[in-house]
Amino acid sequence: MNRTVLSMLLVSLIIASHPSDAFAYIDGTSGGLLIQLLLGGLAGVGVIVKLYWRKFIGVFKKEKE
Amino acid sequence: MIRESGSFRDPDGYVFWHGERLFRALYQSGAEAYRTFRRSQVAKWAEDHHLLTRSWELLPDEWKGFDFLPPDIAGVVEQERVPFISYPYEWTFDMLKDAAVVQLELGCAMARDRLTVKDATAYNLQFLHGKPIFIDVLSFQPYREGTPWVGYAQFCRNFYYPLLLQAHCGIDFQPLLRSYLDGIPVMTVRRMFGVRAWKRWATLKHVVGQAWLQQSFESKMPTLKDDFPTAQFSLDHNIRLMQGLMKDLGKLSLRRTSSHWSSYGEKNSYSVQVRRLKRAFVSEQLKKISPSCVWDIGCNTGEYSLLAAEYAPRVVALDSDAASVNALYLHCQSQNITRVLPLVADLIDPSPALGWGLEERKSILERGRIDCVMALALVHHLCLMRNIPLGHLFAFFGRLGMRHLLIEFVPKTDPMAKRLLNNRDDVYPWYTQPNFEREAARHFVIEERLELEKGGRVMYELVHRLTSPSHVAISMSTDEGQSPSA
Repeated sequence: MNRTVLSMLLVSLIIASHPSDAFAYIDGTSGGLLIQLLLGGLAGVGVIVKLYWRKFIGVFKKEKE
Repeated sequence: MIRESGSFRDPDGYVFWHGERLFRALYQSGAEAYRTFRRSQVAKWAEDHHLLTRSWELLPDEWKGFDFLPPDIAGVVEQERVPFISYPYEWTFDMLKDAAVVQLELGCAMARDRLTVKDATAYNLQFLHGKPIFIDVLSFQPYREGTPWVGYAQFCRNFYYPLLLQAHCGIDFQPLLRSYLDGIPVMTVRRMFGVRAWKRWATLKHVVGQAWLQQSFESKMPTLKDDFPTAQFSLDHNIRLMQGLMKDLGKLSLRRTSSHWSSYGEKNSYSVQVRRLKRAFVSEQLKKISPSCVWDIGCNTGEYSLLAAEYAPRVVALDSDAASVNALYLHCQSQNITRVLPLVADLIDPSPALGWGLEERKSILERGRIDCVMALALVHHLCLMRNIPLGHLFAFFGRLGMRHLLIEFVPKTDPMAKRLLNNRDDVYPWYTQPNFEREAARHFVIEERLELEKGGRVMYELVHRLTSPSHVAISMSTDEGQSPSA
């Protein structure tokens, strides 16, 4: 994939994401798996977009509850 | 049988010692994985190319006598032993880099044979005959279709991040790896890099990207396994990732290749005559002792380690200055010197026992027998700079358990010792040659003494009192009680 497109995607995902400060059980390999999805090609990027979409929807669901 | 204290995490088996031989006990899963790996073409290739230690499975009859093994053991593998175990926090930049390349080369080779390396901890690599080699023969398993490289994050933490920090930020990685036994966490690296991480595509991917994705989902990590088929992972994808990292590693180099100490050899106060005398003394003693393992403490760039390698099959060269030790490593690589193992270690703060139960990683003093220690041009630094009293110094050397100690006394009148006291009060009235000899005599017998210059430096060959002829009986009982080395 074009490097510029990937960079832009990465930047937009970073800007779009809202990292939480909540303490959690952190699996140290998660970031490694996610970045492999992102670098793996279009299909992987699709999965990442889906994950962010779920996260985004989750915020509204929480508010509704 | 002694079970290796650091071998307990792997669900497929564990390491044990039987006499001087090294084995792995395999559970059913481990036995199956090992046999699959053994049947592959890559097994022999990796052994022949010095990427992997040699191993062979014992026939059931051969380990029938091992009645100490539990009944659920399905196989036993014997493997080539590494005479001296070292840890990544004792390696230099180029040692860690070379080890990283071996890990990746092995990973790529395994992938071509549809196998995968299940983890990527730097502790699976050791230095044997001067080169890094992979030692965990239970790390290989058949590749499960559609899965990513599971060891990627661990590879970053153990190899890639320490090298990045050293190369781009000039931060020594050894103290960090000593604190983070599973490698430096991505978030820590991200904070250390700051905005510099945005400057390069490699750090943007492997540091910024990974850190943000990790942080984005840390409060609610999705189960990714279900998404693997959608992401269309394949072995080709894993190989590409490893090859990309190998390319990135190739671009990393030490910013600062020299230090005050790495050029110390040129700055010292020896005249040609004194230097010749010193070398001749060391050569003569080593020839007489004929040691199998020498430690050169405070080796600097290794002039005397290299000399010792002419007489001993194994030399462990220790110094606290990473730049000097790295220079020695590169010299050994370029000259194909296989007998010297250079390590970053400070005698004032030697590597302690670490990890689970303080047994997972051994202290540097517990990793094998030493025949001879060389402490050349070292004592004045320890006593006059680091305030180690002579009594403590010789008590420590006495504890190391070696028979021979080649040591150099540097008097306060020596130009280099004077320089240490240039701007400080001389609060070391006890630092004299008679006191040096008196404290030495508590633990050692002075066998040889050579004054290199009148009123100047003095070379000694000392023999441990417990191993001198009058104490043979004590020596033998000590030897019998010693456990095998790692």
